[in-house]
Amino acid sequence: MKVLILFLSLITNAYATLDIQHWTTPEGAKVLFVQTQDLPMLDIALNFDAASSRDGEQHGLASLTSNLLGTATQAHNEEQIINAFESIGAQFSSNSLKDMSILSLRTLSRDEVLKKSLNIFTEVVTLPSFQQKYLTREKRQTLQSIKASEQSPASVASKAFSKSVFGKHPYAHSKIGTQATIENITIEDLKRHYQQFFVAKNLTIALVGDVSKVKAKQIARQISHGLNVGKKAKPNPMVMPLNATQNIHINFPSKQTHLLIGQMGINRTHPDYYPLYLGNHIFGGSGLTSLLSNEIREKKGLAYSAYSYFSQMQSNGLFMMRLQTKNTQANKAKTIAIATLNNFINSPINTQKLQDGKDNIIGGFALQTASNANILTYLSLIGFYNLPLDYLSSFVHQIKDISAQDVQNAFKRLIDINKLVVLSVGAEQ
Amino acid sequence: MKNLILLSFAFFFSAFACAIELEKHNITQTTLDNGLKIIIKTDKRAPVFISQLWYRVGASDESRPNTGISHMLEHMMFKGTRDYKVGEFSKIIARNGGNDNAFTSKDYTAYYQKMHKSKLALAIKMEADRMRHLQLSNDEFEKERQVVIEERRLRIEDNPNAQVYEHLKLISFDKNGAYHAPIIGFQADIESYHLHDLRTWYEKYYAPNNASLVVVGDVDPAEVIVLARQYFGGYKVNPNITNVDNPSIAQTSNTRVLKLKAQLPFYILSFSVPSLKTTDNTHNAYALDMLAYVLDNGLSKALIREQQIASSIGVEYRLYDKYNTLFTLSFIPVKGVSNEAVLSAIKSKITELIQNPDLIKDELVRIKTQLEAEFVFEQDHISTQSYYLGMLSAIGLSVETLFSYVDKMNAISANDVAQAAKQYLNFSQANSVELIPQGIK
Repeated sequence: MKVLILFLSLITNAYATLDIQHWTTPEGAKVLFVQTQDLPMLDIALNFDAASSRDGEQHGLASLTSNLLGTATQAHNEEQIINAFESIGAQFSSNSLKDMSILSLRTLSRDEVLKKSLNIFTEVVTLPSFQQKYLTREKRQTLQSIKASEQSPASVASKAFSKSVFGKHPYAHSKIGTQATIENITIEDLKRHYQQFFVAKNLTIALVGDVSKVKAKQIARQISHGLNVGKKAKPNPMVMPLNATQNIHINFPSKQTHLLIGQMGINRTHPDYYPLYLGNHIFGGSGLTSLLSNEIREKKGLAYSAYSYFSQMQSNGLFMMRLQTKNTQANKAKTIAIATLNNFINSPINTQKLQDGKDNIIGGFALQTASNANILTYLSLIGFYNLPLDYLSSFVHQIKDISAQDVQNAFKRLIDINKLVVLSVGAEQ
Repeated sequence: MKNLILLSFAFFFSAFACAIELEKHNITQTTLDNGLKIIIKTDKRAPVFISQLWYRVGASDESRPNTGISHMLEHMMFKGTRDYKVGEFSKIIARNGGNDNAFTSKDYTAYYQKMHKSKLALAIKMEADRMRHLQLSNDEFEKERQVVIEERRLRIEDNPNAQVYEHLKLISFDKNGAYHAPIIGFQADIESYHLHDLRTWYEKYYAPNNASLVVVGDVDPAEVIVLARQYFGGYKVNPNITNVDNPSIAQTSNTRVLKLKAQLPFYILSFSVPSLKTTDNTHNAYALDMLAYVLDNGLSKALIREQQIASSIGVEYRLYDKYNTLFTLSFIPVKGVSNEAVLSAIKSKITELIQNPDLIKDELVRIKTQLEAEFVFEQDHISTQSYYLGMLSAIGLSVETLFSYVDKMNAISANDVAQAAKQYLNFSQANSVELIPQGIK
């Protein structure tokens, strides 16, 4: 008996592995669920493949559709909907990116609250009423957002960088659209977008919180049941590599120049995913301890932030190095950043750096799933991007045996230092 | 005699009740002989912890020509000690699976590490080391000064709305008191302090009796205390920290117009108000906090959704500032609508509230329900928990403040909210900053 108890306690003390439950609803929505019992709350994320890469020529359509969910349903108006969520302390939000349009609910999990919050959430998602007065208002709000982005050099730079790296791909345009595209979008467009993409077969439901699996199944069923079955959206074409270097400068009356340097990136099922992940972590993805930050900030004091990342989207995202420095130092910083990348590609990382990078990822892996909100994000990613269910539990195993040569080879295969987008936004010197 | 006994009994009883209350929230508190406060909250949901060290020093302790020096010192705290070379602090934490950072605000400077629970001793040992053994070098300082100037350009100078906030503080508080100067400092000051200024600041404020260690996560409180005693216990009290108060000095009826390279207008108003710490009646502070929620919801509904004359509304009250603070109202008018039109709509909503508090009764019930739910939601992140605990300790409020918040807010009536609006939202005394966009060419 003693032996058994000891054995059980060893299991619970071992590395935190999530017990991910998964199933598909009768309507075809994919569901991932983790039960956590310590806080009396539940998080739900509905991830539809309905975001700006589905805009077609109508840039901003997906964002507007997402913004109007919650303004009216077939039974309730906007104020009634807001009151319904607020009167039970539930939080509803919508967020539309390039791949995913996400509708989320955070609610207390006790029965009487949960029942009400689910009912209104389901109604908002499954029985929307798209009305002209709300569209008119949200268009005006979008035009204000466009202006707000025009006065931020960081936003101007991000927008221009995507345009250059993604070219004609549906990832290229800004998700909020432009004045011209926004003005032409109609209620009919929103309805069509909703009918086509907000459907069960195009949905991944993630649930994390203090409910049983039986309850989670009922919840997923309730939401999915109200949706049209529909069809899964066809994958977008893959982003293609750049043909040549693009040097772009955009004049902007700012004290700093924002430098963005990079190219096409990867998705999460890329064969070199793990060596690229580890490599980027060491190169520019781990804050002040990364190589890029060390060269730009620690050694030279050129910038407050200097980092790199892979955006890891469905059809290949982007790879980007990013920093900001006063206008007169922009060229110097650019030269150092490119040389640092070149060096990283052409000579293997030293053993200590490699080991440090692995130790950081592996030793801190428990932090990745330390909150319900973190777990919810991972369930959404695993489901939406078709990652294996052991994505998290095998992550450490995937990282630990990667060699310096593996990292170098992976970067060499992907990054073409002679075909980069080199973008600067700032005052010309 | 009888009175005395009753009094002491009551005191004993309430202390006991507090202990039970804190136990319910898994809180352990103690203070070392050298004055270091320790607050631990156990949360065993994941095998991780966050350890934060909070110093009771920040921008509100500064004056020219040393504005921003708390923040500058925060940057230099990563530049090596007697035992660890430049940059090694973060490297060692990272190598051990952790991530670390720091932040500076008006009333505090705080450092933290988030790690697997097996690394608790390392985090406490290294944080303790840099409390007393920082080595400041001129070479590192000169580079870091440039980094901070870049940070200022990034956060403030190339950000029109951040400039508006900076100007609001300049006109709302007298320069001889707290909260006038920006947290990051004036550029001229950042450019001019010397290494010995930083050393003086460090020697003066970085001592156990000016700090609180907050640990939240899957830890054994007894072990945290043993480790804290082991690594911080040897440090002496710094008797020179008298925690001299540097109260803020309110200025009223000041206005400023900023013409900036920007695309959108922005308007902000400030009213001088007490904080929870400075008020002589805490009920008033909670009423102000409730007023901020009521106006944020009410004005968003009226001005953004119904009248559609504003595209954004912000109402903010800093309940947890150390000194008298600001209640602010900000907005962006929609295209073609003047600031005056939005202002007048705001004023009439506030007058309506003062004259007929019953109008917000339903709203108040909903806000209270939301606050109760939010109290649960906020426990999802150990960093949110440790932030509240450390911040309260840093400004000198009890940990119980966190756990009684929902009850205190529940006690606020519609009349209290109307009374707070009447007492504090005096538009003729308000300060304002108006941004008139000049385009970006």
